[in-house]
Amino acid sequence: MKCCDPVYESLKGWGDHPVCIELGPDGSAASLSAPEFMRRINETKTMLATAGIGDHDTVAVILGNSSDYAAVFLALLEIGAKPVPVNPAFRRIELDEIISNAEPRAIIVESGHGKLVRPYAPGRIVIERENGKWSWNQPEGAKKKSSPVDLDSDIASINYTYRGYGYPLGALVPHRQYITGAHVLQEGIQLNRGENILIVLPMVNIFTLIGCLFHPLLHGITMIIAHRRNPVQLLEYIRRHRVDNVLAVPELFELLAKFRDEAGDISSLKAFLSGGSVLPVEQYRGLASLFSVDLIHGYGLTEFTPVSRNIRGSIKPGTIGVVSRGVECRIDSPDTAGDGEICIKTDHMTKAYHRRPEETAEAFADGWFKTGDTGRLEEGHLVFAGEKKKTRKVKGNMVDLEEVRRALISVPGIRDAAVTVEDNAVSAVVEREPASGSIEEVLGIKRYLEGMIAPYKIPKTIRLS
Amino acid sequence: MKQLKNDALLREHIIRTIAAIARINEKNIDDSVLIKEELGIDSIMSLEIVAQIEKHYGIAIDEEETLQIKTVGEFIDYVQSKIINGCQEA
Repeated sequence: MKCCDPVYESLKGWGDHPVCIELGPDGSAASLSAPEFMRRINETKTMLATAGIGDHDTVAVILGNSSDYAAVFLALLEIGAKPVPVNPAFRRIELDEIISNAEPRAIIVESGHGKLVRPYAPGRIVIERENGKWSWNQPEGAKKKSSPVDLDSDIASINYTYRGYGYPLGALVPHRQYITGAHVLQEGIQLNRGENILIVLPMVNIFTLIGCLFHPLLHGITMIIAHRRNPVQLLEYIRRHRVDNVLAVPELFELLAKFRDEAGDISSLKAFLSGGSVLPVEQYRGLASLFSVDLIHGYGLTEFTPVSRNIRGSIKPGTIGVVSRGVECRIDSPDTAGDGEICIKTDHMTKAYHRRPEETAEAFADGWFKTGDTGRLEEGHLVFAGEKKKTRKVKGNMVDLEEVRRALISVPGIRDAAVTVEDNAVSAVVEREPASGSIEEVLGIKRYLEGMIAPYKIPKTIRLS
Repeated sequence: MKQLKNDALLREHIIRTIAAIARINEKNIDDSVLIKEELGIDSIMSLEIVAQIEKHYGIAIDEEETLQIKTVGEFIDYVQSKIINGCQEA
């Protein structure tokens, strides 16, 4: 069964409330009913087929949040293609790795990002989206190119993540993950049919794909897609559209808190669904009380989401919740405080990284997945302790320290670099000869990195040694 | 003369806002300073700056447009143009 099938079944009984409301930068609000959304998916399927995309083709999707993103993702799944969600913030180093590993037959991109994918365009179908319209090229040979054969039909998509190797790994995400993930998430957050959810995080992340796409579509929740993320605007959206739920990272909730006083009537708010970063007890209590909402924090990985989530009505602040139904969890090699590596096992998780046998063998053994994160179990709730792998979360974004080091040593003259994360920001010490130590030199390094890695990975401070 | 005074107040207020969010002494910020590279302003900080400025001046700032802005001076010019356009539309 493909994960789009239960979504279509759900849409048949959707009722009158909209599937999606898309908020434009000009203040417009475009609403889509279930039949209109199904029509959009069917039109997208036709567009993809006309462009030459079919069963088992891998397709890089480099789009911003929109109802089209949802339609493209579902249409690709339905025709048996394998979507490869790619963060639009990625630059040369990340894109080189992903494109060479996934070898997508096609790239779907916002027209503004056309220049970014130009180096990867030869021999590939490139579909561009501009103002909601699609256009594509069909290069000679793209139609005849053989399809990848090493992906089983139970694999839905290839979602790239990091484990500290210095390059992204393509998690082969099964169809079951999307459906099971949405259902076990619902057991924790318990949203009611007919409610809505404000979507502000990029749909490229598995947390958003499950929490803001599959969960709403399967449980009758209207997706409200925001194109602007500034907190005053988000609070205005919440007030004007009577938003019930918001899914975001703790840093974004903190930002909303700074502007809460001027928000007006936002009494529609019922729950904040949080993940992607640590949420300490004091911060939890402050946010929940300021907004008078259920703040439901959880934990997941690209390989399986959610591993754990708090259960509405019995939330334990400071924890990442109860391990999801159907997931076995063990703590490997615990220290005296009980903290050890969190390992999980479920039939619904990723079992391998695409074309990376060694990395797969290191992460997956005897049916267990070693998350690379550490934590402990306290009264049935998981408590997150930190990252054992060489990755860090910076304001909700995953940063692979080794990848940043690789980017730095690609700068002419830099022999080596040490990268750390301090106070929620990336910093680096680099060895360069000759080094002037001037501000201009540091700025030159940062400017170079702008073309190499996503902006949130560029070190805030660079010290020359 | 009045215009010059208003421009100076606007500039002073924007620099004060950026300095508070970046936790940097405002004396170290002038028009030529690079927002991301020198001040270390990340996307969450940018959202806060945009929200503060929108709220204070009653203008709407397009987040996409601000991605092209490099220096503090360019940001001040951008805000100024938004205020002027807003006045003309009103």
